[in-house]
Amino acid sequence: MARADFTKRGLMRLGLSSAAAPDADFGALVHACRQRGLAALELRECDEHGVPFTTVAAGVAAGSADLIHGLYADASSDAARLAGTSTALRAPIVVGDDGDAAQRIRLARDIVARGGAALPLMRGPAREWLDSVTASGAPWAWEIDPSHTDVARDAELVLHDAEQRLAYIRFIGGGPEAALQDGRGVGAVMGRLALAGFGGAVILVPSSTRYRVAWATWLGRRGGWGCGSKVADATLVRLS
Amino acid sequence: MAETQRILDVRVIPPREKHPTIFQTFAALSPGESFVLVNDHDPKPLRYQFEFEHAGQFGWDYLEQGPSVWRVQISRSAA
Repeated sequence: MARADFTKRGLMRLGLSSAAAPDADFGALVHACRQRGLAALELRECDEHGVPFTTVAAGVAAGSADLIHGLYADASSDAARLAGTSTALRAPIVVGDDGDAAQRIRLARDIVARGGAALPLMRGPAREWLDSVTASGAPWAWEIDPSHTDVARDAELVLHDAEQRLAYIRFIGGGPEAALQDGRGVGAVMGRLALAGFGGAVILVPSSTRYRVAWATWLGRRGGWGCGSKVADATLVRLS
Repeated sequence: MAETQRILDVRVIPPREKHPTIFQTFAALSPGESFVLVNDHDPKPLRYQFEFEHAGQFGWDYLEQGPSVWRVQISRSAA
């Protein structure tokens, strides 16, 4: 069976997880993306719009199919059902949540074997999973959390291999939380991704429900908060 | 094989790290190479800084100018 590849690669594009607006319907999510100039959307299986995923199909038919870059699902989910969802919505399943890296790699492999596309999600320090995901030989997803890991060092490890098959990134924070992530290596990560020519989606995911109001406001607001040039601090960024 | 497209989306980056990241990314380019800067407003202050610090050494081409997104191709001039 030919391997499905719905991973939309080419130019790196910033996007949004439905986790940022879990009560929003599909149309509202699309509108929020357009408002913020975001070019990719991740749908979490547990959120309001996407349970079950097939109810989103009607919205997809309205012409927003290209916006969906990932379908975030639990590692304990049914591989056959997820393969069907992936095929119907022409987007890869991002296998996250419960389970360890090996479980997520196995489920992703099962989904692919059933005709869908899937990316096992790797999180935590890269030294704990990089060898196993590289050995799998398959495309994979990376969850970058500046609050819990040395993301600048991990980016150096991950992107060192020119043949790595990193296809998708979930970025914890960003958006209205960006200013809280000073000095945590975010600039270095984004700089390294740019220099490496990363061509997948970078999906913004709220770090906590405590910021729900901030995200809602951010998604309803046009324009930025200024470039920050007046308070620039070069010592916070280090690219080798 | 198409040249690698380098996209630096600074909308994710904390304000104090934006300009340093942009300039360090620029510094990592070889002459003739470029990257596309993606921002949520016109990066004019950045351009002024480039003109002050790298006069004659960079190219600046708008690919998109709002209303939600600005894309600028910043290139390192060939030696």
